[in-house]
Amino acid sequence: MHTEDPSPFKFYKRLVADFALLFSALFFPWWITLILIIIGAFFFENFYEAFFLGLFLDALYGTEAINFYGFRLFFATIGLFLVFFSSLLKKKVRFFS
Amino acid sequence: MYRSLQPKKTKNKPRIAFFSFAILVLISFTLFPSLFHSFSSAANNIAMPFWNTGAAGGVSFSNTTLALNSKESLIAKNKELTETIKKLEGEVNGYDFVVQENLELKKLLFQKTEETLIATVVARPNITAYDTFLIDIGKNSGIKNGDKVLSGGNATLGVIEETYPYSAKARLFSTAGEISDALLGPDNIPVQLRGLGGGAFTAEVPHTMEVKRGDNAIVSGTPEYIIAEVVSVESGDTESFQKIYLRGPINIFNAKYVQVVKNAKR
Repeated sequence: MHTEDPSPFKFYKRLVADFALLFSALFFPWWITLILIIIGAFFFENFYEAFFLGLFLDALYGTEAINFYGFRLFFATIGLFLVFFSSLLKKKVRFFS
Repeated sequence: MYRSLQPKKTKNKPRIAFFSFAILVLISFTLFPSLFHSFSSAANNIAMPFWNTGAAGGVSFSNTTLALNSKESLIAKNKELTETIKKLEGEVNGYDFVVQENLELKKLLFQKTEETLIATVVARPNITAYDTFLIDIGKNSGIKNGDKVLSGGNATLGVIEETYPYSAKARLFSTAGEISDALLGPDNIPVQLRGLGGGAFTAEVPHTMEVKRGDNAIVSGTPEYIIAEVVSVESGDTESFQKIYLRGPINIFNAKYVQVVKNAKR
């Protein structure tokens, strides 16, 4: 499997995935959204949306007083790590090369 | 296999730009909470119309089989549901009246001057990652940070944590790690309830105190508000404390409406 899709539908695939993730963030339990983000990070190349969606989740649902000594950008940080490590991992795993 | 012919340095440029931008955003939002609050407010303003539409349309993901139903059965179902809606509307009107009456009576009983607003819960735990409620009233309705969030008139759920023009975020007492002072049972045993998340609490009381399943924990200083109910008591013969597990007075996973007490005395 290669992650660079040369078809003209590449952009639309990604757009549909982005809308699905946004919908999930608003209406589905958070862990479903997180699973979808992880799938997206491995399915698409440079899935920067993971960070922005994490930021959106933190902005919608997080509050200052909760957890991590006041640090409230939990999902955004996970998203950033996902973008970073998914590309590293994809280089190492034959399935994605 | 498709390999990019771009030189590595040019290929990495967008990635480096993205990571620099992302780290800058994380640092700015951490150092300047007001900046994040503005972003949060904007995100809520964007999401609110979708939530309202979802609530009005009764977005449910168990209804996908409806598309396969016949026209006749759909018409029959529609009629049946219209009847149910009429019946429920009548009940909701009655419920509002009872809640209002309940609050009026409490006002008289405890001589408080608190105004209560009824709000729709647009996002609740399971959708929200933490024990938070998002409600459809905000600054424009006059609510402020710290206002109490109740359900059914006497079940206290949490406090308003952040307010936006048309929405607000409420932090529930059952948030993991949150400590709340309460009085337990008919003997009013003072305890510290520790939130476990998902509407659950735990507390420890001395072995000599009698606590049983079904005892209510009330908020210290405001005896009319129930915060949790005992569901199980664990006590070993050799231990000096018994561990108590409690749950909130309502099921937070399907809460539809809450009351917000404006200018609540804290």
